[in-house]
Amino acid sequence: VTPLQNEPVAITGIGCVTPLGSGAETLYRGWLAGRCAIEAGFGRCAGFDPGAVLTARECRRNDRYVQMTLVACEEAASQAGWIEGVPYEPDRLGSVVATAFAGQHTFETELDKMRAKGALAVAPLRVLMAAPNAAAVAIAMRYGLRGESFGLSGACAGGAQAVGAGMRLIRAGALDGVVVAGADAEFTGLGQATYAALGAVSPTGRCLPFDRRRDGMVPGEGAGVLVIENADKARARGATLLGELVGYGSGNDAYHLTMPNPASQARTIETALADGGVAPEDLAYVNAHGTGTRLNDVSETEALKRALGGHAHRVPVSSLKSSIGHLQGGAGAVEAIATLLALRDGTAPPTLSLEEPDDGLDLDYVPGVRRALDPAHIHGGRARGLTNSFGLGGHNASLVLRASVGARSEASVDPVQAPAPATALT
Amino acid sequence: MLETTEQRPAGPPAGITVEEAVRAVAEVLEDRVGDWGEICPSTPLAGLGLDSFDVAELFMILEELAGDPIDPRSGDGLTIVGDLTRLRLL
Repeated sequence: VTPLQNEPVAITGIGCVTPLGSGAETLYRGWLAGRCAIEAGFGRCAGFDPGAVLTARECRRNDRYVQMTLVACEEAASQAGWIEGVPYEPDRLGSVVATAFAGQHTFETELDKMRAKGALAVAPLRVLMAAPNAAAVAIAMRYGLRGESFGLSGACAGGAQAVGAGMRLIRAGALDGVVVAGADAEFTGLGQATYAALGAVSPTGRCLPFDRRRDGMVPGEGAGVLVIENADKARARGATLLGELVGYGSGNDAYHLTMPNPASQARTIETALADGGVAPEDLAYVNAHGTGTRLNDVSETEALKRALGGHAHRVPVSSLKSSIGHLQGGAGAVEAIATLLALRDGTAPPTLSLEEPDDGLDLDYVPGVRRALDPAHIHGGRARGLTNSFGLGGHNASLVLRASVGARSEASVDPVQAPAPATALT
Repeated sequence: MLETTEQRPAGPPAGITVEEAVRAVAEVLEDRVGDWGEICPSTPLAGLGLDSFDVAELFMILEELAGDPIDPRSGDGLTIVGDLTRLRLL
């Protein structure tokens, strides 16, 4: 097996379950249309119906965060052509799923039962299926993937780290294809209490990235799944390449549990660019972590200026989170998918709710309405984009993606039509 | 069949009906090919090949029906599907 070092990795399938609905295109089109799915300070997947895809037994045997992952995975696997049978030896296929809280709601419920009625009251199956590795296992079992699989925890950077881990497994020659994902569901009493005590959650329930009125993040739930493959093998089997993962960087601030560090974040971005052989001026779009906390948006802006130099002021930078909330362990994977679709359409999606950019936050955050990417930043018909994910504990992860502009599906959005107004700004 | 370590079911009846018991067992076995034929109240539990994971799933279903945790010790000595109506709460 020959390691591929820094070779691009093919993306052949994508799937999402988000507060905007099920489906990657549903997410993307909803975002472009200015839809905000945040209600009462939470981005809930209110219409999520696992039974539309999973059997009754699969629903019963899987925690909500795993159900979301499986439903998103079915969409991605179908697009990749993996449903009728996997295209490589099962031993050469794996799964990596990130989650920040896994089945925390279930753990809390079972703990309550144990404290009230003793150890015999614990439902062991519920605890097992809520574990952080449960989604990776469920995917492996459903599709017969017998290669390396594991759950990953990198807080809110985990989703991007899962994508990066999958890239590295393929580049190392360990696997030919990997299902990479991030997911989190619900927001439990313990999580709410913790985030509120830290001052991280918006007391007004509004997510306002880069706006002077911003007062914290708004949590959400959902899952993002990508099927990624060795690019040469994907082409050889005739798969449609939706785009490529070209660079990955990850690091840790190593100095504070909650305070972001722009220098570390900048190094992570630089590492991702170097990994993909991409110069800052090659970037046509940046998908920001953009949580809407006081500290993150300042730190990320500073990090982008350090890493991209003058290009930081020329490239559009937008955040998805004011549309769906912060999906935590799911955020990095969902936002990688959103970035891919934006590149494909040659469009910079908007930062909804941004009306009053804060002092010092002076990048082009695409307030309110989408716009076409600058043709000067698109080379050879292919656009390159960066997506950032930063998490508590100092976890930083950045991905660089590439897609052919105009390689659109039937469901994609025409980038040249009049921009939609931002609406429902919760 | 349903292994537990103590013999002291003291809680109130779980209130599982015969129909619910049959349906719960059938749900656990729905993806499985077996020679037990149609599940009915007189079907021997021992012949169903339930492993510990299946039993955990069965109790999870029954607990949802009962609305409270079931005492696993009350499963001692049950021999047929219909006996699941004798389960008790913690």
